[in-house]
Amino acid sequence: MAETERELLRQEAAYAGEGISVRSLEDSIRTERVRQDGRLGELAGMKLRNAEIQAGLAREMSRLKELSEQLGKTRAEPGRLARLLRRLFGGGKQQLEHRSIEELLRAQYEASAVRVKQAAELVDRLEAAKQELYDEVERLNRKIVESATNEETAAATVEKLQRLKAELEARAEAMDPSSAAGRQLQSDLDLARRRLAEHTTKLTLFGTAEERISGLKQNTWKLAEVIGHLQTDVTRYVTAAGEKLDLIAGQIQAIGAAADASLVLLELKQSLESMTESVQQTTRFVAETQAYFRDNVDRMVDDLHVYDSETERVLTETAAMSDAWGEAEVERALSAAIARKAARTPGPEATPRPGSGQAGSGQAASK
Amino acid sequence: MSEGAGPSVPARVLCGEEEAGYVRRVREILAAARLGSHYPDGAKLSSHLGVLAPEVHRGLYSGLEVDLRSGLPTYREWTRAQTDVRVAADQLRQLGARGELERKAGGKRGAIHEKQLAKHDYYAAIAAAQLSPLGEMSVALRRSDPERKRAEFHVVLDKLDASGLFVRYSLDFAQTAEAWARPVVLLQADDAKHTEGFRSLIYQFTSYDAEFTFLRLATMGGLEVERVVKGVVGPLCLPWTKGEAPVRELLGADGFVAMFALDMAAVDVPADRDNDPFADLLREKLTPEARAEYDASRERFGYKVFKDRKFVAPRAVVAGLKGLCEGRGAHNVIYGV
Repeated sequence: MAETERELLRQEAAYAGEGISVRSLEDSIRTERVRQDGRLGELAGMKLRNAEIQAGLAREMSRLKELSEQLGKTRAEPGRLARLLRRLFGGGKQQLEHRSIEELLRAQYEASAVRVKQAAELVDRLEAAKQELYDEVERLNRKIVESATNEETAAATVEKLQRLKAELEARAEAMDPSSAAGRQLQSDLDLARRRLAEHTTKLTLFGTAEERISGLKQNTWKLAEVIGHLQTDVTRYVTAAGEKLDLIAGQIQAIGAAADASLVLLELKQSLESMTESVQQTTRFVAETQAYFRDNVDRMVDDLHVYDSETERVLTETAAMSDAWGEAEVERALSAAIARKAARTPGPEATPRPGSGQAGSGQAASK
Repeated sequence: MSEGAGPSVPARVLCGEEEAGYVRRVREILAAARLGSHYPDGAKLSSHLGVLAPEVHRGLYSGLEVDLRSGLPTYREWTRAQTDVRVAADQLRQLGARGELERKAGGKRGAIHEKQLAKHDYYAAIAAAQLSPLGEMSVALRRSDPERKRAEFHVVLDKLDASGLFVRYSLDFAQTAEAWARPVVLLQADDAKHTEGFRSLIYQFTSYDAEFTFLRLATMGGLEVERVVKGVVGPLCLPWTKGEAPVRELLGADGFVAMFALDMAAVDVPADRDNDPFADLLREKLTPEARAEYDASRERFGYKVFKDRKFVAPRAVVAGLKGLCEGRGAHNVIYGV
């Protein structure tokens, strides 16, 4: 037997990384899934947060309605401040003024400021989550490249071993099996079969790992996109509402100092309309975001469960077969590896660059 | 520093060292002013102001907007601090452990994780900060006589006034049987609670002087007013704020004069006395007829008015300020810093 053939039988193929087995792949996939479940948990937390903001907004809308009614009453009584001064010197019993519009407006402003602040903080948390997902994609990509390289190495090794095995079988046929040389050849043949089974298992496992990790990566991208869309929409709301609130803060401070009652009421009306518009925008946004969560995230979670079942099936089959690879299984594993390689050949995977997936602003709104 | 901000309130935005220096100075002024119980709580004001300091917010905000009329931060800024303190505990919970944020931020300056770490430190620093109320009323029962249906109350309203000044209105009055059907304060056992209407009434009067409020309450019926005190923090006159012209002339390039007015209308004040050189009297704006009615009301309800104002200023400005006050017939306390 040639030295290169002995080398092939002895050699532990030079695979990158920590090596692979059914168990380690299971553990690895499980770890990644736990990580992804954590991300989904975060997203569910944000969904809950969104629902809380929605409930708060409903209360604010109700208060705004009350405020609007108050203002309506006040506007029906022109010259209120002037009459107040007149009454001062008239003596006698007077009615208490109904609740100050300025006071109500301030209370509403301060409540809205809290709401906008919460939304602004949500934007930054979404940004942090998105960045972490991009880091995750980078890490998964490194694993995918490693698995693909190892798969190619395994395929090449399996092909070489297949050829060697066929050659050894042909030689064995022409030799006395009970002779020392015949026994040695039989031993080499057994070793070749063993190595072939080992590397075919690895070929399948690396192929499975590559596919599964690619799937995880796609889900990670989906999560990043969902978060990106949310972030775009919340940012738009925070910017618009923040600008309005700044305007209102200035108006509120000026309202109390204005000497002309009709001017006061006019400015109050403007502030109120601006505030109402801001809260309406928020309410609309929050409702649409909830719908987006329902349509996308919940479906994604369902998809992930299906995906889990598929992974489990492949790993179980691989584990069952790894001890007894027949010709047909080896051929099938090789064909599958070649098919995967062919599928990748047409061009690089269409993976969006970090940041480019966020262009879908308004996607939540359009759902 | 840049001009602008809100469309309705003249304001100036301070940034960086100027912003930090401003907050430091106002806190020093508040400490030096020795504000008594008739003024807004100085410690709370100082704590509230501390939240706005750039070394506390760690650059999370671009600057501090100052109302040019009062020399104090605008309503928006006070609300910003109030909002942040209110959400701090919840945000800390959502941000998670500092160690984890620090790990994520490691070596990535300017990135989002660095910002989240700064936020964690900011919220941790302000979570327990005391706030000065921007509009809050409290009522305490002083004495109660159920048989005569008479109860005496002490009411305090703290408010950031429309003028941009912090105001504390302290009211002592008795609610008599006449007001029992339509009380301003609701009494259950020893628990006193103001009505919404009463709160709104006082809320609207913070821009007026104590005498106006005294008369307004005294003429409502069912109330025997003993005392109305209005304590005001501000304005703080700086070289770039809008203030009294003679005061601005004293300031030089880096001076300041902080004012703390006290305005009292009470039945136990022995004599009318005006020791406030910068008082803006409502009475002086009235027509002669209305003023006569005003004077008659003083006789009718038996109260006297006392006005005073104390100051905090750099030592170099004290002599000039003292001269200005004396020139207006007032002898005021001026704390030099």
